[in-house]
Amino acid sequence: MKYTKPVVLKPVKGTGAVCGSGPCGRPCDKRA
Amino acid sequence: MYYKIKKNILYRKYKKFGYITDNSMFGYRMPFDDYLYPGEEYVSESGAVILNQLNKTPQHIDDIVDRLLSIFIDVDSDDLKRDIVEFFDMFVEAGFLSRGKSYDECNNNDNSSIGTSENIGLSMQSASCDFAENIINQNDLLRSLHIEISNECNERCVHCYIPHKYKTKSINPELFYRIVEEGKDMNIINVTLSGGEPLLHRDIISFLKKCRELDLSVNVLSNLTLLSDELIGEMKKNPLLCVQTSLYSMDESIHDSITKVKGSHKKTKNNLLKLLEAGIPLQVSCPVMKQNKDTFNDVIAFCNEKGISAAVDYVIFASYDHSNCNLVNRLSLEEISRAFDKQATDEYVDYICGQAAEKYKLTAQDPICSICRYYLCISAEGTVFPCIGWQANVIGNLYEQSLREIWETSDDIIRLRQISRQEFPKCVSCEDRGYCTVCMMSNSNENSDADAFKINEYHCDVAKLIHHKINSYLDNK
Repeated sequence: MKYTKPVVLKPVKGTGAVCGSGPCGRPCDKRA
Repeated sequence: MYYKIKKNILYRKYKKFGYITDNSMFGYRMPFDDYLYPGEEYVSESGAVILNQLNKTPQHIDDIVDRLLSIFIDVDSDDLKRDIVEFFDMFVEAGFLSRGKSYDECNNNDNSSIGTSENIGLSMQSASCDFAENIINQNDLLRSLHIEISNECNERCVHCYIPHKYKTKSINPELFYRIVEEGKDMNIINVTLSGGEPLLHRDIISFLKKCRELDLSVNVLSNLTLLSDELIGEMKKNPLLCVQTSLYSMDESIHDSITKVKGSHKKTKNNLLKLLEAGIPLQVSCPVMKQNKDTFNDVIAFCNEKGISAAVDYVIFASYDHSNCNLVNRLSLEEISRAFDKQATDEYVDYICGQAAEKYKLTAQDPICSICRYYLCISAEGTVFPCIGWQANVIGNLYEQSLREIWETSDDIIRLRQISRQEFPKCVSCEDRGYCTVCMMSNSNENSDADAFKINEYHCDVAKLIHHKINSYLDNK
């Protein structure tokens, strides 16, 4: 594999998906 | 020098990038937790290969360099080592990796609560001009699976969104192992095990062990009445495991009147305290309904005293058979108003206002929710559905298809993940939208024709009420 210096990528844009507390007991903007 | 991935951190390698994250996005956080969580970062293709050399056991830098020299064909050993050390050290400073001059020191440093600082986060992100979003494909984003391992339940909660007549099945263990292995191959981070009551599954301990061996973050949603010392022992072994339970009142008779099981409050509360003592991150959920509207606040006080997060919701979801039979327990607007007055503190109002400010920023083009974009739900019978509570909306069957096939090719999934706020035109510019959650599962369950886009006016009235209550609270301060 060709080598390139490892770097951190600029972050992903926010999803804009915000929900309330679902029946799973966690805000749905969490990714789980 | 030795390096390792910290025990509360998860790393996944993809073909063109790597993803490293703490568990706060997936698990529950204790309210007085002062740990500085490093968040999440994406790294370049070569960075992904390099981070992939690490695991939760300390490794010497020279061994790592040796292995990478057989992967990278055009780099000098010293240059490679210098780049790797610089790269790893950045992640050590940010709180993702642990470092030590010896194997033991590296392990010991994993226990330190040194986290990140804003400056370090910024310096990491400025290290490249490549944007992660240009590289990541939607198919790469399956992060979590919510698996109902046992639909059976030993309680009969009056507000439950699962009709009691369907609480009869447990997942076939072979199917469970296949799902989590397929999920791990697809780089999932987290599984949520729920029910019914997940502790009723005779293989629950083996399931938790398997998840731990696969380096998965785990949330267990349980009433805890069946918790055993053996189970606590296995739970303690996974530093990425959290537990959520429902506690409805500190008055035993009221809690038991909701679960319909005498003595359930005592068991749930005592076992919750056992888990607290065992150091397992917890969340208490306290949906408010007619039965506990006068005493739910005592649950919040109990949780505050014990240092446990409590999530309170005034609106219960309809059962997924569209019968609305459980909604007789739902609060009226007047009851919500009184419940708000009981709960309102400066801190609570600040929290609601903060959430509202975020919601007001959303545009018509933003997705309505995270449905089918980061997670899937799976029933004990292997059917796949988009959101917990929306079991009637079957979008796949794991006895007929692989997880990857469903995630990457299902027309239903592709359609659901593209639904944006503009498909709810009344909501886009509603002045109360900051205090509302548009939920397709909730809509669908409440409508006899399963229409996910038809909103019960009750939810609009609740949002209007909360908006008004917040404004009044702030005016009277």
